[in-house]
Amino acid sequence: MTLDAISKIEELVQQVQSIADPAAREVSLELVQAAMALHHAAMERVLEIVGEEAPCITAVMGADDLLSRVLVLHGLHPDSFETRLSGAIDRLRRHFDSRGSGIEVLESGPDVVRIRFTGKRAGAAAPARLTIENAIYEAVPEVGELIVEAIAEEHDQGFVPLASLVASERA
Amino acid sequence: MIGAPRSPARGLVALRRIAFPPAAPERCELCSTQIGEAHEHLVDPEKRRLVCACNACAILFDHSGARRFRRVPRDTRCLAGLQIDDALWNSLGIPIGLVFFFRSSVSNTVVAVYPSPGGPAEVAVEQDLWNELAALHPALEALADDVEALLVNRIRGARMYFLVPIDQCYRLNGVVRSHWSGFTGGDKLWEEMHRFFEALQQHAIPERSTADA
Repeated sequence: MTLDAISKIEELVQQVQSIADPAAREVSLELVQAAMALHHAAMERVLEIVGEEAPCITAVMGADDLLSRVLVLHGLHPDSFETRLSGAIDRLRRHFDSRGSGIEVLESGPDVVRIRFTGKRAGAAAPARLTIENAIYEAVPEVGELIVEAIAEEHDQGFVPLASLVASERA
Repeated sequence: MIGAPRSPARGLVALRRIAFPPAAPERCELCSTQIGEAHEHLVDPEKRRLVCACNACAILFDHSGARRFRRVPRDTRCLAGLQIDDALWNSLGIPIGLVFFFRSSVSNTVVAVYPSPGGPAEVAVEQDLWNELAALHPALEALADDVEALLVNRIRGARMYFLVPIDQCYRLNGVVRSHWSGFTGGDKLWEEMHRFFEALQQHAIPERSTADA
């Protein structure tokens, strides 16, 4: 499941939720829920078997990009919320450090994660927000709310230049 | 921000929200107060139905005489001192080593309930036989009507006896129902039973030494 495929899922979910006919909408949601429940049960069984037969494999599965996304989706990832969140934050710090900007973590609970982006460069805030959202949602999609704040710089004024917007959409 | 690009990983959040909608919080069936996962149960002896209740409502039905509901106790006791010999056991005529006994105030008899291919089967236990069984342990003589049960596990050579709140028996029925396969239950069921009894043993209050046989 690549990021493109995951992105497509959001569009499809929005389309299902906006089906005007309530019966059709309901049955579509039920289908999704039933299919997900089946896979959830199967994956739980996989983890049970692996956990009994070869516990070391569980960690390898958790570290794999694709499996990790699916495991967090199902709430079955071997790492806790805190571990996954702090892993994502470490990766973000390294990413922004190398670009001369940074992040501050203001809140980090399962209900709210609040992160402040501190960038100096004009137009850096919008793509940074995207990077932060992506990293956090990938690691802890169960988070209640994610708030990304950006300090408006003198040249930035919280205004997103069109160029950076277009660039990040194509990224 | 209209038209702001959205992070692809939001797809995970969106799918999660529709695929696993949060369960509605449990409520007290008497007063509708929101209750936690570890809440009290009442039993309706007439209908043999469990009712989820908040603490305040449950207390109202403590030692209830002629009321509609009875409060289910919380403690499980392991009756390690109890020994039922095979002759007595066989005379009870229970075809399987997994059964619970409780006294029904409605029929005024002791009822044995055990799993079978067609769902839980139940038989009335002859009063003399029950008296003989109850004489083996003081806890059985004091068994509370409708809300307490003697849970027996003699599967595959096990000899485990517990004094349990009746809601544990309902839970056991649920486990049996969801894992029973074929005519004899299947290996998966017996694995689950093993797990059920292990958990029960962990939470059980060990028997007081006075009751040791």
